[in-house]
Amino acid sequence: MEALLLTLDVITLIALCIFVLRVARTGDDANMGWLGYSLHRVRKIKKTFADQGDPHA
Amino acid sequence: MRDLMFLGGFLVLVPLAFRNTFIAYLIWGWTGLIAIENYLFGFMAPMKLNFTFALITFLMILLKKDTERGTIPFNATVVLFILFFLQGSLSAIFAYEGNRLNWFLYDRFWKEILFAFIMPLVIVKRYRIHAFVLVMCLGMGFHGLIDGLKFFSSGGSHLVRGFVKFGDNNHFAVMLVMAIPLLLYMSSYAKHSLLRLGALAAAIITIAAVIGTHSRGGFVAMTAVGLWLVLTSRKRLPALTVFIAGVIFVIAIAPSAWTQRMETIQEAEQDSSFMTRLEAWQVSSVIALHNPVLGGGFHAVATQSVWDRFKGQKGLLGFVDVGFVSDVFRAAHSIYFEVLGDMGFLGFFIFMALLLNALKNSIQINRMAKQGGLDLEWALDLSRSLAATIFAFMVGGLTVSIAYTEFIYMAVMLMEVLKQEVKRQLQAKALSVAIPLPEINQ
Repeated sequence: MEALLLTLDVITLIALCIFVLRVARTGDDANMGWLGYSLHRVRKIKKTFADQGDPHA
Repeated sequence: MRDLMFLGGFLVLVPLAFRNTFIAYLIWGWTGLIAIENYLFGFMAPMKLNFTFALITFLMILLKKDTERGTIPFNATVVLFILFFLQGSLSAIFAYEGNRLNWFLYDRFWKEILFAFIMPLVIVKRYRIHAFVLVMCLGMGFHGLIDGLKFFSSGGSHLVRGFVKFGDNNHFAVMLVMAIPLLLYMSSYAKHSLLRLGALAAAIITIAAVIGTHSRGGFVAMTAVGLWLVLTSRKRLPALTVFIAGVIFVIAIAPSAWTQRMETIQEAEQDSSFMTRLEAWQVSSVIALHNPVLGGGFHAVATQSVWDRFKGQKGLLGFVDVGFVSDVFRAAHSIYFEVLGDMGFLGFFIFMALLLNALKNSIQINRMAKQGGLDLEWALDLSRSLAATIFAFMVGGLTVSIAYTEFIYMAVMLMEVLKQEVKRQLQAKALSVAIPLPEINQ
């Protein structure tokens, strides 16, 4: 288990380094890929009654 | 096999580090936090990976291999770091003879201070702050995951003992607690949902790892951080609900041996473990009273000749009678008495100023970020998480000697870097309002 987690950790670090390099080159933060950040806190979007559509029967 | 895997990773990481200063800095930080030497047992074990990436970082700084280079500002945080470094250096030079830990700890100390000191040079934008927080999570979260998963897979019987770099179970527990607020931040601000979920899972598993240490100090720190997060949350009622759910989770997974151990917190005065700590605090304060300016050197209290000289004296804690005198030295068992004994009153005041200044920075960031509205909400949340990390250190550190752990210096300087970034963003926003963009008529 240790070896597996260590491998995942190293892979994530390599991916992070590659993404950071891409951002440094292009100046576009969107190039952080799947390790990027969300501009705002990710919230669960509450559905209003209007979003839920027509009531059943 | 593990060494082969890491060799592969190393061969990819080294060329990447030579491409950009910040990348070299990130890897340097990661090798320090993950304490990679503890996980490699073959031909990679003797490799000084931390040193290698530190060297690359400085080479890259000298060669100016960075597109976005910051400057080291002359402000309270930087000045306090310089003073703390000078104080530590003088304390090490004038340490008591026979202190076998003095230079070993000083060697770690100056490297940690140096790492934090150059942070404003390499971390200048939000994506870099985010990447660095991610590295902190990857480094410390890894330890929490390993031991937390072992705790679950053993049905709660796995005893987390800590390891060489971080110290025993008590030290390790506090360090794990310090990582939890940052994992929670990542669970809110990572772009990818899987990463958010992973960070949240890592935070929960890290809580299990803290329970696995059976450390009372860790438990107190964890509770304090939970309450801190509730009190500083914008929505206190939902936060309190999550906290109560967390308490129920802890009670549900904790083994009976853990519960019995935690119950002894109420009987501290009859507990021999606690009384020996008090004795170590007394001796540490006596060392400081004899050397108020420079202290006794790094971990002077854990030197037998120094202990023999001062044992039995009560120093600043004259109102407590432990009822015995130990012949064998003890560790300081508190970050406050640790620094007090090691660096004297002067070092202690600098150390406290460093921590309190970081909390003050957090308050300033809160004020500024509120002006920035939703665009700076992330800074507000990150400053709260970093403040919770520092608070965990201050509470957990009441009973363990972890004053020279690099994680805290990273958090303190990151708070300063965050403040500078918030200022920059507010200035940019003010400029964009003052100079409105021309309208494009089609």
